[in-house]
Amino acid sequence: MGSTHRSRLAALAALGFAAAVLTGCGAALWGQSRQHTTTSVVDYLYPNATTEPVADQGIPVLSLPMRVGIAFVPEHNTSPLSEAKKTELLEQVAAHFRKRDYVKSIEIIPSAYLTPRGGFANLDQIRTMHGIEAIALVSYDQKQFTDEGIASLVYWTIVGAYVVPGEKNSTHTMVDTVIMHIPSRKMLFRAPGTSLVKGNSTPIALSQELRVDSEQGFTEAVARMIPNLDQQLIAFEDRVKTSPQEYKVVRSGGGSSGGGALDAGAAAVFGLLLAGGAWWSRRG
Amino acid sequence: MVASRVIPMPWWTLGLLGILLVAQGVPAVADALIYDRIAVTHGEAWRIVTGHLVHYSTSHLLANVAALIPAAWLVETRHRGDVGVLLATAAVAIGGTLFVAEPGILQFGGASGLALAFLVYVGLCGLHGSPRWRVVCSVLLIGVMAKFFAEFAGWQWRDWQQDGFVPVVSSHVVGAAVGGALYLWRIIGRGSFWRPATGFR
Repeated sequence: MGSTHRSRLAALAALGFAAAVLTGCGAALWGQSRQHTTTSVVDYLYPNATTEPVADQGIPVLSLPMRVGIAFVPEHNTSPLSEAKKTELLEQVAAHFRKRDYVKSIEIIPSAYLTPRGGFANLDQIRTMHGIEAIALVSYDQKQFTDEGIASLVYWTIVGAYVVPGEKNSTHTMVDTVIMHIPSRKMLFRAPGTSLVKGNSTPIALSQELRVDSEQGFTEAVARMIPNLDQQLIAFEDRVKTSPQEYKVVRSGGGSSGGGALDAGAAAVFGLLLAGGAWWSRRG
Repeated sequence: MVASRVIPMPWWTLGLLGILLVAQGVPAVADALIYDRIAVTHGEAWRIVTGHLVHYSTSHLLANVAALIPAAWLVETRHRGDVGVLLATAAVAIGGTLFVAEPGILQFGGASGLALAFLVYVGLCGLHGSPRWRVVCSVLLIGVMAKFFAEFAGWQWRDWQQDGFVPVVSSHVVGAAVGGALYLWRIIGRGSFWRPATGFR
């Protein structure tokens, strides 16, 4: 009887140990997770904004048609996007700039050329290197959440962790393009785009699935940003024309201001000749 | 008894002068009228015609008005019906030429092309007038040719780049061509030259 009791206690202890081990594994394997990656235009352009006042450079003098650069705001840490994916997304945005007559050219600036918290000193370097006047800076904010659904109970079977997609992922992405006029340090306009990607995955394939969702989130957010960008590009074109107090336009580079002008001397001779000649001929 | 000859009021010329002065004095009007290639491509087609009414500076305006107004006044008083035709045809032809053949010119302003259309037309028509008027018009046409020669040779008395633009010679060529074409059309269309509305023969 006593040995039976002891063996039952031992079995319970073993079960408790196994449960504790499995629970620990489960906690390690299936715990809730959250990832957040972000870049900030403000942090990049004004790294010392709290201690240094931001200089007012006056009315932007736009030399139209202008050369524009486009780049992602540099990250402090590892980027969720590969350089190839960044270039692909930037190319989509750049295509819409090229449609505007006031944009002479747009150049994609690789991330390596931008220094985190580089500020306008960094932009001035890029301006000199690439011969651009304005730059479109693309920043982003992406949060990924992973929650466990009821199906995650089957993870206890171990095999279930490989085949049952019990992880519920949601990826919230916002991209924001800010167009800065480098010489005047003025923002010309901005356009945002957001996306929400939801999906399920097994815990084993979770990191791979999150990576795919992350890229899809960026792709969709950029696609939603582009119509906003088109609107802003058109609105900016109108503002330049209707608000000379806000922007001074200088036609240069590929185009110029032409005028029909007679030399003052020649014009005076012609005018006097006609007026005097008319009077003289009437007298005759 | 002395017969008095009433010279009709040159309303076209005065109206043209009025618009030129308003465009010069009111920047918003100038912005709405000036030839702007980008705006034209976005549907603001009137700028092709109205760009001639805008000038970059007062000296630019005075230089053009000094020749345009006397010439327009003479056309109006002598060949009243031709003022509107000449204005419209020259404005469209010059603006259209700029748009098609001068893609590098993003902005254009100035009435010198119109002035040359009127000068050439007055000069050619004057060859059919009284002996004294023929002399005056012959000198005028020689002067116009000399100006073209100087322009093609690159001679200019004033550097207009100080006023923010470069002279566009093609606008002068097209303006003069329109003046000459209207003269020829009148000659061919009527067989012989028509009688002027008022004197100066």
